[in-house]
Amino acid sequence: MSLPQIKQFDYSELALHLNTGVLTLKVGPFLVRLQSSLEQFIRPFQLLYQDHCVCLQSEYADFHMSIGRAGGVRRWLKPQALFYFDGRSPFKPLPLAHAYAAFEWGLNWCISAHANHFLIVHAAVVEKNGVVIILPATTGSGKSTLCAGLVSRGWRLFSDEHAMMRYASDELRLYPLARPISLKNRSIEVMQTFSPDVLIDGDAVDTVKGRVAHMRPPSESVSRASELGKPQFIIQPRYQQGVSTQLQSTGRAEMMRHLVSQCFNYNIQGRLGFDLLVDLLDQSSCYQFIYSDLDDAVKVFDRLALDA
Amino acid sequence: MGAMQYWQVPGNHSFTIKSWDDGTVIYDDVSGDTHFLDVFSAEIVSQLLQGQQSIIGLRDVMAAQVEDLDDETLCESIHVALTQLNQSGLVHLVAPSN
Repeated sequence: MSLPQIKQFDYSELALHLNTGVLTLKVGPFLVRLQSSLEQFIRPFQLLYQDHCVCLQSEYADFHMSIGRAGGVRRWLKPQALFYFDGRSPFKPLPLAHAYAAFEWGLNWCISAHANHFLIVHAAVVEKNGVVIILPATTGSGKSTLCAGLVSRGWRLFSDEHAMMRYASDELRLYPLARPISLKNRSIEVMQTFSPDVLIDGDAVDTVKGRVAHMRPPSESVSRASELGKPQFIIQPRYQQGVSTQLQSTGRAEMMRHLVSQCFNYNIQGRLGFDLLVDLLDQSSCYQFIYSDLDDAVKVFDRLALDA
Repeated sequence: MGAMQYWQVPGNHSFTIKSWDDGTVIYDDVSGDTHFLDVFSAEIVSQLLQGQQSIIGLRDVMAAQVEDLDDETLCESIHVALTQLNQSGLVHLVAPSN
């Protein structure tokens, strides 16, 4: 039996399901029970997750989340949104207008901190013609902009934030987690210019990260969420204004050091984490990638997908 | 420099080692630590995994691999590397026997 997609509900239906807390979102390998009555969350959620499937009668969920209003006197003076996980609020409240960002950041935290059946690297992952590329990078390196650019030009989105890997039948595999791509500050305008057809919503200004908005993942990426990937390239991207595009081979030991630094749960995994990264590196070619022009960057990646 | 002191890898540790062209990573199964070593330090660990050695002994083994270094410079380099490896818990001095 196929599950309904978010886009099959009109706003009032979706709001009712979210209000009553019966909606369980299927996102990648996870089931997320969601509760909220905040329009500031529901409107962008409806647009950005339109292709995702939901269960309305699921008894099980990996994460139980809600986005509610913070209480106290402030709620009348300066309304705030609060993220709850299993009934607890691990973070400080945010302005009500940041309710959608609170959900995305909360879900990031749920996965990073709790999905320890995967080794999780802070990285984007994209695929084309069966060629899977991992883009591990520190915050502010241009990873998400590059990922969004590739995805808007036909690459399949595995993930913008989490490269999730584990052994499946003794083979190292990457698990898709196609969610909206987080864009910050200037990258929002860059993507609106680069690919005017993409949908960007959930705009939040003056967050701790500056202005934040999210780009809807392609329908095909969402529908192929159960197709695992075998990694072939690990490319560490870095945006640098004014430079010409450079793709340079780098050593696996150096990349191992970078991957460990970008892992959310390497220490928790112990020896298994070491083995996974070593296997990942053994089967992948490693590069440093510096870019300033998104068009050129996409061409380099398209060439890799053709030649691999 | 303690040239006749002997160095060894801890007997109670179990290492998983992976080497690539640009360096070596070692996973310590006991501490759970991952160590990143350059080629030179990795070679020292490799030699000590075969048995305890003095700095002079290591110099003799490694001299052929680093022909451009004179004996004194090589001994100094080995000493520096051993000190760093010791701080990482990968090697230690053999306790003198009575």
